[in-house]
Amino acid sequence: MHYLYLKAGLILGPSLGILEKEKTMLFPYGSQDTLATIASLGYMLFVFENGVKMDFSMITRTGKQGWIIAIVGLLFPLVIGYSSVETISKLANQGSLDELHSTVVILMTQNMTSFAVIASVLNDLQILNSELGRLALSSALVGDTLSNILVVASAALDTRKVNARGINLVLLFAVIIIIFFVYRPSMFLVIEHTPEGQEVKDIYINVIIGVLFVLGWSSMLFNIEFILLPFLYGLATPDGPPLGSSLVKRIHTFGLEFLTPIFITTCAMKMNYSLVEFRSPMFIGTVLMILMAHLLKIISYAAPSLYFKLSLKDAVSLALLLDCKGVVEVAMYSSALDKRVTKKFTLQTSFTNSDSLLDFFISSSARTTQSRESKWLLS
Amino acid sequence: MEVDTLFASINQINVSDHTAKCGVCLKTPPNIASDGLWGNHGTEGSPLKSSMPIFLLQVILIYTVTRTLNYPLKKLGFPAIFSQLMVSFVIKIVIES
Repeated sequence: MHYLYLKAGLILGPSLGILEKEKTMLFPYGSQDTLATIASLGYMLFVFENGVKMDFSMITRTGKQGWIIAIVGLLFPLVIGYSSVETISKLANQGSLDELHSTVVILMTQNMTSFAVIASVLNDLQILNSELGRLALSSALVGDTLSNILVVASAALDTRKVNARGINLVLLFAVIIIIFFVYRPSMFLVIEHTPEGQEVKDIYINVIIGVLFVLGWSSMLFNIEFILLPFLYGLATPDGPPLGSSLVKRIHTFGLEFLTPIFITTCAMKMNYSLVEFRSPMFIGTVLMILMAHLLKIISYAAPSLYFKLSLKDAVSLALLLDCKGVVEVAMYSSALDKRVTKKFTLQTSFTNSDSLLDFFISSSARTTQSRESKWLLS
Repeated sequence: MEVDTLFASINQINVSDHTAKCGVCLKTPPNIASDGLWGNHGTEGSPLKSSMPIFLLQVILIYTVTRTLNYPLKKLGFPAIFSQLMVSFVIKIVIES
């Protein structure tokens, strides 16, 4: 069997055995590029909107608890994972070190804490305004910012892209500094000049959205993830009325409700189930690795929460909440697949598969714990 | 080789076990809008060979399946991302059968 895919990534790709049977009438070869491109645009809007919604004053309200839980939960698994990355990779790949980079990708992705995912889970559970919800949100905020910094650093210091690495790095940091020290104060000026109770003028909104696309484009120029600069840009945009709320209002329906589900579906369609051998040591090794990563993450979130005198049940629910994986991780796997960071793409897709199932179990267990708790609180 | 494609022809180069590169032959200007179902241009301008109608069809398919799946799954307490991931299973099963 031959598996053909374009560089942009075939959406309905490998497991359909494209070029073999005439069963892809709805997804003919070549049509996937259009869908994937437009859906990625939706993902960019999604990430930007989440950046806008993030509110840094939330951290100061919960105090240093959020900081410490997030830092321990992020760094502890990272240190353990990276110090044993070669051993893990050998175990999962039958003694060869060929797949070292894909192991690193999995560890990195497992280790991410994403604000967008956790905020949406909290929103689903309707505990955004509870004590635990606020703590989880602020830890997620710190964790997300830190893991993004790590991603920027690791992308910039990637040894495989030696040429023009320095200039990329310098330009990237120049852009980030401009975003935070020129753009952000000027947005506060805009807010000051807006009369009380009115919305910001349309021209500002249009300029912001225009710059958003420019930043997505320039992320690709700097050879980093195309969502990274849009995310930082959203972070620098002041949230709440009058500016942030009216931005969110305009982007939300099209980006978040319409294009993002399509993006997730296109990512998930890259999975290849037909090539997964459930009994191969590689598969078992990777599944064990993922389980271990989750366990480590939960423990390292629960331990500092226990230290802060949270009850065991609260600590475990907080850890489960912060361990949730979602859109962002799916997108990360998918882009790693497209960039051929991972050679064994069939296996990599099975990671996404098992991972998302696991995430479901975790989020559902978090849900049951939470609902039981909220029932207790109500009664 | 029977294949549904938007390209004029596809040539395989560099075929290995897991990956293959292929050179595709594009007709310019590409068919973006179609000539309609009853157009006079053979298969070239048919809706299923033009990028805009096929894109819209895919969007409609994914959107409706997501929303249909989301409704019962939400009642059962599944998060939204779960139904979005399940859509790919459903579509694959439907297309493959």
